[in-house]
Amino acid sequence: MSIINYASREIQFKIVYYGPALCGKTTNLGYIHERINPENRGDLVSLATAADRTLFFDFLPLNAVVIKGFVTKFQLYTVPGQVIYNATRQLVLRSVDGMVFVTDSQWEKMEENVESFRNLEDNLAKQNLSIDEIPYVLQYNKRDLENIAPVNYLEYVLNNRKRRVQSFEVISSTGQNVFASLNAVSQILLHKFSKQSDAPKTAPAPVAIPVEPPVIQKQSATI
Amino acid sequence: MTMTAPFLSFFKKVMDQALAGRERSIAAPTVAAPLEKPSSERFSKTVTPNAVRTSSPQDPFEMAARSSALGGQMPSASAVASASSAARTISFGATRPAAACPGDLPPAVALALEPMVERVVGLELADILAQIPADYIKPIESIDRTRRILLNASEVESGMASRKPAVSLAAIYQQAPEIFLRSIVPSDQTQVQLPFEKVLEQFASVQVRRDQERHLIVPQVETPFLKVTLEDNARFGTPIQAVDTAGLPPDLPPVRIQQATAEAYAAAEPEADGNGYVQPPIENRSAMPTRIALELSPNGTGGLAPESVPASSGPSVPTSFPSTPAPMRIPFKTTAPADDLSPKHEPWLTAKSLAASATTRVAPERESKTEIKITLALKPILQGLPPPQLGGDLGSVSAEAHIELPFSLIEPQLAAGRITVTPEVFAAGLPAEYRSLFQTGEAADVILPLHEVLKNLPTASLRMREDQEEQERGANFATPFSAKAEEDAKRFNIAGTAVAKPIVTPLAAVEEAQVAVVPGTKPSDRPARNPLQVALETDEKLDDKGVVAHVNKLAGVKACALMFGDGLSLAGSLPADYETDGLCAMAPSLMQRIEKHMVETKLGALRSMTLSCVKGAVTFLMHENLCLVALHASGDLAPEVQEKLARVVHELSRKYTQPT
Repeated sequence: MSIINYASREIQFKIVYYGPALCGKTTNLGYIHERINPENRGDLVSLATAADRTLFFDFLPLNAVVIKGFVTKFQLYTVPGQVIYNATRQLVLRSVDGMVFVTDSQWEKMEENVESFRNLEDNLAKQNLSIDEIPYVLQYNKRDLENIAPVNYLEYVLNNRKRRVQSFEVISSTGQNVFASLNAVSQILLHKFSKQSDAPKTAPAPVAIPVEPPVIQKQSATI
Repeated sequence: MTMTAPFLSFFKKVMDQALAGRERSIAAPTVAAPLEKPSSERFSKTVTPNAVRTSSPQDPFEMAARSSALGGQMPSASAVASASSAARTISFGATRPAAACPGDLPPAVALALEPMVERVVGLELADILAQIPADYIKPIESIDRTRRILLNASEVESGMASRKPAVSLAAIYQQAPEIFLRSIVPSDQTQVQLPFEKVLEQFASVQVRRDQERHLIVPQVETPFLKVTLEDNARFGTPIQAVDTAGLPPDLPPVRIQQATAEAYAAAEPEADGNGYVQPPIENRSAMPTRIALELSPNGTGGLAPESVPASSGPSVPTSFPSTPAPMRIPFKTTAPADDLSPKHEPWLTAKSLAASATTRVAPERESKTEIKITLALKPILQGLPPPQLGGDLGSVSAEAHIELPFSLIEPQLAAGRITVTPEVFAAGLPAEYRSLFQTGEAADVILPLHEVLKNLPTASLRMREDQEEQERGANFATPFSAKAEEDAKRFNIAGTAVAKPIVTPLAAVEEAQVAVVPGTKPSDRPARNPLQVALETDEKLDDKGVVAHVNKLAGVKACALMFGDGLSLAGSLPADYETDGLCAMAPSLMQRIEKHMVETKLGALRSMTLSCVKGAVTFLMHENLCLVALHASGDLAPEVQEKLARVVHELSRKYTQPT
């Protein structure tokens, strides 16, 4: 659920990059951090091991546009993809607004992709959420490699649900379609927020205002 | 002279009344005290809150003696109802008048008013007179020896185990006080022995009430318990009544199998009605008060008190059912366990395989004919096997060797990202000459290389669901991301749009092609081809390599290549020994130049450019930014081939300039 600060007129969206280990989630954030204007972003916080494996999560705050008088801010997170860090993934998924599911297009990673997607569903279910309720897009990453599955198979495996989401062929190492996928999910979130703010609000219940008795002004004597 | 004394006359009057009353009391039969049963022996207790009950003592023996149907049988309900209803009144609440007759009573009250008749054993006085002490009774000659008395069966039963049934003298006094010389108090503990054989005979003739309803008898369903019961019956030599289906019709109605709830029982009973259930006679039904569910729990548990609580306060009557037919039973299989445990075809996920499994039972031969198999190259699979499963040198495996596996086993696993088959299935599909290479003793499943499966998969099998809804994309808000996305799209020369939904031929079309020609199938039933497929006259999904492969099949074309206007190669099969790379890279720009000059001529637009050389000929076709190079096999290309190539280039150009 997006965090709305009415006092400072800010709204924060949390976007989580989810996917199997070594699929390129941190590379996505690194590219975004590299390309985005420093005025619009904060520092990329990354807790990684010596082997550059994400230990906890990556975090990148981004400022976007002003909609309906609210400054929109995006907080990009990644989760550790390794199976043993499921508790961390559950923690990062809390209050998620949108997701980018990053898949590794290599043939030998297909099973891990499916497992990671199921893990995402399970972790959302533990928060009483369904993946069908949360905006997300699919990234078919590493499309520059040779040993990759065709897109139609990836679509069949990961995007054959009732609601067909947007999917992108991505090469995160070069940045191809990295912003396209981020833009897609951010547009959905902004549109959702815009619709919510446009929704007619119910009229407030009438409140009885006590009527004070008229005060009889005494004519003060002027000296 | 008569003296009038008012007090004396009053005294006489009172004395006369008192004497008259005493005579009446001597002439009238002694009203026996009711049998008091210990509360511990009572089976049921009706609790009616807010009810004031006034009930006169009811002597069951007296009531039964009035009935003509003696001999230990229960008096009819109608007979006892009339006798009992008048004596008992129940009023609910303070203002409710007492009910007068059963017909006016609420059903629950009428049910409570049902006669509470004890089970009795009837004996003639001749059978017991010899056992009564002589000083208690009158001379035997003055007693009607054929007079029957009814004794409480529950009292008599206690001595039956030791073959010495007995009854208290007070009980006999209650039944036949006229044979006694003096009164017997109820607390008298004197016991009178009863003849065992006579009592046993009476017990044997006891029958259950005729209006009894069978309870919880439902058709037999094959369960593990029933199976074990039958096995035990066979082992212990007990009669196997539960499986005696000799008297049943050959075709039994199907049995619904559902959870054992009260509703399920209630729903199951009507099924059995037509198959031998004993129903109470209609006249008895009409005589009985209508029963409604009494929402009062005897124990305060909230549950309903079962109607099968015995009417008697004594132990339950042994049930004998001499005349009722056996309840309906369901025949069950007694096949060997091996048949039941044999592996069955699992339908898994898809509707197609579900339909296939449904037809399996009906026509298994038909299914075996129509089963789709997938052919895979054997060598990559064997190369992926773990060493324990590999039993020889892979060098002997030909690159052309293939294995056929049932597609129904693979299709459900396509979405899992990992496809395996059991060692047995894999061994069965192996060609005979390679079976020695595979060790079936290992329990691990055989992993099929995903790319190998996908390569040989019917494209229709990766069909997307037809009811998919597109995700709402929202408005285009100008964000830093959208600006960067546009920049990247230009930089990478990509559209930056999402992947379009793959167009996949429905599986039905593939089955149609692979299995058999279905009569009556019209060409219009096939899925619509895209223009590129129309140009190349194929239903296959075409990518660049696919286009090249199809172009190579055209008459007069030896090889071809596709490239962009800037010379970037898309795909091609031109032989390397011709070294045409440089020519192909230069040709598009050359054609663009020529085309500019063609405007000045009246020859029309440039369609193609053919370079006729000593060792062969090459034709270049170009449309907008896409160029196709076709190496001639021999001589010139036929006009229709050139026309087809022009259409291919045109459609490819459209594809790349308007990506979806």
